[in-house]
Amino acid sequence: MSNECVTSNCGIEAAPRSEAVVLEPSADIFETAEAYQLTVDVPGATAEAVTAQVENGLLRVTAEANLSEGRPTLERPAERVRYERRFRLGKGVDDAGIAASLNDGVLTLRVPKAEASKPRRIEVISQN
Amino acid sequence: MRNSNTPWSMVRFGNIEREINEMLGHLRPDAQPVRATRGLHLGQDEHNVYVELIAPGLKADAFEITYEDQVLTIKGERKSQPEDVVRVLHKERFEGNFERKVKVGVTVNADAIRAEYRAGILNITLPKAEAVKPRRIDVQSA
Repeated sequence: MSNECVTSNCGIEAAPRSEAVVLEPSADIFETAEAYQLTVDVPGATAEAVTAQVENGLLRVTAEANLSEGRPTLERPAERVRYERRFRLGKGVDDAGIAASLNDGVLTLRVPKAEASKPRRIEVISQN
Repeated sequence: MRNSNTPWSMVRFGNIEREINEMLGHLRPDAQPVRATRGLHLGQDEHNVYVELIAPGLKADAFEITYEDQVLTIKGERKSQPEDVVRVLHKERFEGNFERKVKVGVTVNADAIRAEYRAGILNITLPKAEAVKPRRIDVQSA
């Protein structure tokens, strides 16, 4: 096994700080007749900096915001923020039909219900 | 607490931490030990005092901003639930009325205060009155 040193002096050195502060944004989950709606606060994020991916039943949503962009320097604890939130999807959703929109710093994801789990009207047949 | 280097102070602090957490989210455990971005940010240069409020999910006309006796007041209401909801499965986001007050310790031109709302962030610019702007004093040769 090679015993090569990674640090320049074989001691300890600090790893570089990641540039953005990572936040787990607040989210709501609503159910409507046809779909689930996920609402995530991502203030400062632009549509190009938003990603939503489904993998192994997990919906992973990320967004980035540069708070200092185009604005004078304020006393902010962080200038760059990375939002990251995951949602577990059940069998009752149609994950291929997920649609996302971004308005006023709020990301809204519509997750359609799978056909089998949509409410359906049961006809009552009169016996007379 | 008033820092002598800044021309403002918070009049009412309220439950600012709770609201910030609800508006911005929680710092992830694996993130840097930096405080989460705070909901209200202040700054100034020689021309203006700047106030920035992180407030996603409102419309520009949902804010009520007033300035009186050197106190800037920002009020607003956030509604976050869609109308056709059958069930609320999970609720973390702040909903309801909020109010923030900032005491601006320099004289500003109240008629020229501007506010702009973009991507969930409210930016207010308060131009300093001419009398309080720094000026260069020329030294006359005797």
